[in-house]
Amino acid sequence: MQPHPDDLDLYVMGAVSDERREEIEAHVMACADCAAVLAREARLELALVEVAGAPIASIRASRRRPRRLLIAAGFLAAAGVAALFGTRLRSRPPVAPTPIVVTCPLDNHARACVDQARRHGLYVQYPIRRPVPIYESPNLAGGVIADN
Amino acid sequence: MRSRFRRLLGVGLLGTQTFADDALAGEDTAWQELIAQHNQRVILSLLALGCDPRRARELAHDAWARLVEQQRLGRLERLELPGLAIKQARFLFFDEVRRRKSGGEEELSALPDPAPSAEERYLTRVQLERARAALARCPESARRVFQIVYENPGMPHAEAAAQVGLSVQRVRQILCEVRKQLRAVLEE
Repeated sequence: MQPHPDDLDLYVMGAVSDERREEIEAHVMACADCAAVLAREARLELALVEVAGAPIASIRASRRRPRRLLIAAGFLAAAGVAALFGTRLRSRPPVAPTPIVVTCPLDNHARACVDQARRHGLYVQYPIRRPVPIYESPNLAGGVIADN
Repeated sequence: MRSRFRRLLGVGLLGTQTFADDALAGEDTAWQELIAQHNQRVILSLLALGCDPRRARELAHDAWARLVEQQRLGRLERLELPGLAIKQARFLFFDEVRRRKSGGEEELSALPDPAPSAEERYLTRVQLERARAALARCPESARRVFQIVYENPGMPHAEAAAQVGLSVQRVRQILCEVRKQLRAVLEE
């Protein structure tokens, strides 16, 4: 086993390299003492956030339907003004949202699929709960996102 | 593009607020910004429960995926972060633990005391006062580094270092020193 890491504080601060992070995690998985230390460091890190005065729900947002109505009203008003002056508004074609929740097609390839998908900033849903685009890992089919 | 522009302006609370509004409206880039800012805290909340680090990352990932899904289904009326993501991640963790226990697998060693809900604090009021008093005794430069880093979730140390005019290494050194002092006070 690797020696006990002495940089668990840096680890919880997110201040270690990816390589070092892998080493630490591999050690912690096999060492109960270091796992306990890590849990303690994590609790301390969260406590320090409170000390700094940043509460657990530091941002709040609510779905604001009225804002959309205002935006829609504004757009209509602008269109009206443009029509008055004989100009034509250039309308942008709607942009299809880029899917970020996908699912992997085959259970036995899920691990590779998930790793690849995450590297592309995609979030994998499994087990499948509803139709979402399928992400095929490059090992299988060239990294294509297809509709489910 | 708009998100990157806002980030360049300096996120602060206002920038984070607009990301949350946009995420509720379904903007994927806003979700990605929020995840980048808050994911570490979600992971830490799981580590604090004794979850192993690799599983903690996976559960955090799943928690965010569920929130995004809820938003897309129109079921997310409010977004309180990072509390909501932490709550979701903890739910997944405890659900997994319960399943393992009922499946008759190896006896799990005692879990930490039931986790505080996302709204609860990690410190008592007395501990908080003591910690803040100890922080007030630190040099002003150390306090400034501490506040910048811990008040801005997800801010890279390089960015904090640029703001205070120090090297990244020095910033980390300061943070380790402040942590050590506050830990001593909190563990009294």
